[in-house]
Amino acid sequence: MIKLEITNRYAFSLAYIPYAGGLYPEGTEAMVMIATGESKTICTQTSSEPAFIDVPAMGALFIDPLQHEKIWRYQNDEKMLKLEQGEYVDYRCRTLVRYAGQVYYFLYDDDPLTIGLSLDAVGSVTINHSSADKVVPVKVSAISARYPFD
Amino acid sequence: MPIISPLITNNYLYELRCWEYAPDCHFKASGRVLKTIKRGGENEAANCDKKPASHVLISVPGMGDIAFINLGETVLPGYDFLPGQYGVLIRYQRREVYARYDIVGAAGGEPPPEVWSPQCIVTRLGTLHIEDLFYNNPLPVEEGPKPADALNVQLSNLTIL
Repeated sequence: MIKLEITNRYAFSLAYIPYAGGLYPEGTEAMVMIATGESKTICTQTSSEPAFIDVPAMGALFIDPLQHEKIWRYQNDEKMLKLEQGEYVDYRCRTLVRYAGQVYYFLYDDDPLTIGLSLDAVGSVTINHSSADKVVPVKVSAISARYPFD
Repeated sequence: MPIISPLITNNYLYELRCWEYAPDCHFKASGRVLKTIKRGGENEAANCDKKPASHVLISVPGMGDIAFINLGETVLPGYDFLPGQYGVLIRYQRREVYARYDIVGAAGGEPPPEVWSPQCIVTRLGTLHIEDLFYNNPLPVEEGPKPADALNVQLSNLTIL
């Protein structure tokens, strides 16, 4: 389970669209609205389920639980590991939080992951608190290719 | 003008929805859905076979939209050094790739119905991975496919005169 504590001070309502086995997310009865000025706690059903929050005019705030998977580019990066008895070891779980082109990698050992975040009047997101052991900004390519472009 | 029909492999968390990207409507409000590509779908054509769209837009939930803009014979100003008769602009998350390709064969009479089908993968992390940018058409095997040329471009999206 991932627990999101969201405070919405944005000019528009937010819509949380639950994950339905990977079906294309559309407005359904299961959608949870978070009105301007409202705070809500949203829990995904499982730890592997992503959370998709539609932020009007900004795109999606997307919580992507990688769990035991790793981003290949960072797999040997010491910043993504923890030091235990003189050895670098992996955290047990990983989750990506993506918004407006920025990506944060949440690394933690204990479920559930809790993330508290707020949107300000112009749609900027601030992560106020988290239960993760470590949070690191990362880069994920938008476009890649098998051969290099000029 | 050739038809653009990317072959998409969907390794992403969600289904992808392909839309007709037409200049006279907002695609999600009144646009035509060309296809929905299920999770795990491999090399599925994003365009419609029977009534293909000129431009294709693929909606990647949580990430944004991938636009395949068919430029026809139009050349992007400043990028006229790239060979190839026909152009396409691929745009995704503020990144742009400009590709040009030629029609192969078409000797005598009407050219066959050309379809340009770059092979792409939407990865688990939502990255658009361009696996192969070749020009694919129904000509005999010995004549094609012919490689396309591509490069990263940076277009000015907001200009004040």
